[in-house]
Amino acid sequence: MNNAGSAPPALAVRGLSKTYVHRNPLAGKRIAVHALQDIDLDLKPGKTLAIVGASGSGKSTLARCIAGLEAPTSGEIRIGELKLSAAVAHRHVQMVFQDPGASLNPRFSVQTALREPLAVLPGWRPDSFNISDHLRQVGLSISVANRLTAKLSGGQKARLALARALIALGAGAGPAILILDESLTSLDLSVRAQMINLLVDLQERRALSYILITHDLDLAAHMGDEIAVMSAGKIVERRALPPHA
Amino acid sequence: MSDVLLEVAGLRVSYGAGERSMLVLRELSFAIRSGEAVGLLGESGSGKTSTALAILGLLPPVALADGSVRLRGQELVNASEEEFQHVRGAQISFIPQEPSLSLNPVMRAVDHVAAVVRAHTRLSRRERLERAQAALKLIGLEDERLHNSYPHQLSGGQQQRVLIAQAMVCRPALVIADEPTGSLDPATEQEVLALLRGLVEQLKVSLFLITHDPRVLGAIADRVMVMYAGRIVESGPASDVLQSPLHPYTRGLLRCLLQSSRDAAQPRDRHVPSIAGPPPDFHQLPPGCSFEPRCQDRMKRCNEAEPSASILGAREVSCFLYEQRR
Repeated sequence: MNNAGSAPPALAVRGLSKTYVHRNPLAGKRIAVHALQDIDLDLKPGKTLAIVGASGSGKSTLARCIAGLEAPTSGEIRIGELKLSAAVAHRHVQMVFQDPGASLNPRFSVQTALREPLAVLPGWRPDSFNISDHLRQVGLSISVANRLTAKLSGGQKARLALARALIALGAGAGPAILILDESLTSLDLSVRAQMINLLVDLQERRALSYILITHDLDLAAHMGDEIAVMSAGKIVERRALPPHA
Repeated sequence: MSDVLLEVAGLRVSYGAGERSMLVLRELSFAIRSGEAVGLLGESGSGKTSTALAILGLLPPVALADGSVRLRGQELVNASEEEFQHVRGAQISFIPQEPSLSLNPVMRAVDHVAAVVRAHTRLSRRERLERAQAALKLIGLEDERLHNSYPHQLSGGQQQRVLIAQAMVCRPALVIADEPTGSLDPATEQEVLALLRGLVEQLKVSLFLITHDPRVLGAIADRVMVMYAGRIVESGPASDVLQSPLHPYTRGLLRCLLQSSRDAAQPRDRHVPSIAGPPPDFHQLPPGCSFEPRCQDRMKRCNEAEPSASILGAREVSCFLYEQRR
């Protein structure tokens, strides 16, 4: 592990709130839904924050705000030294969604799917891109590069979704935050175990910070360095977990 | 045995024909007794759902089934659709995986249940609704306002309860549930499992529960069968199989579970013991035991022949490690 004790946080969230306003079309009244209320958090490089909570507690809204997919109503999100913007989010924050299979275009080949996220990064040169390295780091063999993503097994799809997220994170220096939004929930046990081990190895090798969103308490307790419990848009409890071996 | 309800013998199911055909259930044989809750444990692509569909006569047209599935002596393999109309819903019912996709968005909860009664009885509309309401109350939806709700007004757990009421309303002898709690959060999952277990005991129905999660079976099953690559590799009383698994695949699978109770002072190991290698490919199964390429205990003979089932007390396991010495 790195010297995370003294390092600046990879992610700092201060006073984050998100309110959705719906307009009732009949009565013309506005209805405010406070999805997030005054959230503070810090996440150090190479550490994992597990966020647990019931459906509708605001876990996914928080993740979407940190990934820059949703604009907060108030509050501040900093990634390392930088204030969160679309460009910062592209390079430093990536998300792996709930059903890894469903987030891949079934008609793309593995290579096309892998190259796609780079299109949004400025200054990217195709010749600097080595497919086999990116596949190998998630435990896929180069022989799948030309296969359609629809033809992959569940475990291979999960690995490819992870490789896609890692590609953009690897593009530059600075913090690398991976948001795992129930990404392991739908996997078979043996595949899930392989993915946990892969995530642990990658975290140690590359000082990745993980935000693990889940309703599986065993998984949160296993992977987390800290657990935050959310309820009705607030963090109601935070606890550090005993250190990993 | 006299109280055998469902007897499956030498069931084979293949998809497609000719060169590309794929045998996904390979000589499956098992029995379910009256009032028994049997769990089928296996990972994606092991043939769990094909087993359920074969029993229900719902395999897609490209699938071919042979062998025998007998419900109280009545042969169901290749039975006509008309015969199945009398079996499905009345004698064997099915609880599907994804509640939100299995309910009609423009039908009220109570009408979903009443439709099943209508298909199998000649009761009047009023009597059908009464039966449906009684079934919904039985599964814990007491509030009559919920009976008249549309699926989108119900939570995931409530939707799953409506499907359970549908499955139970005609008092079938056997209920087949395919990952009934797959899409529910842990608290709701426990409620639904307790409900199913209660119904098995109260109504004396048999339950055939299909899942990839051993934790689900611990709470509910009397007996567990473990499936790998279209064969049952181990079966026995649930507590024996889940607490002291014998087959190397079952042992590997149960090791993948995360330990929930933990000594706070103990440093944690971040890695999980996992089963190496990819899941089986039905197009290229090895000549011997299907699990041999991933097995930690493989021996020379494992890739020469497929092991047959060894009987050890109440348990059966298909592995050369447990072959009786002659």
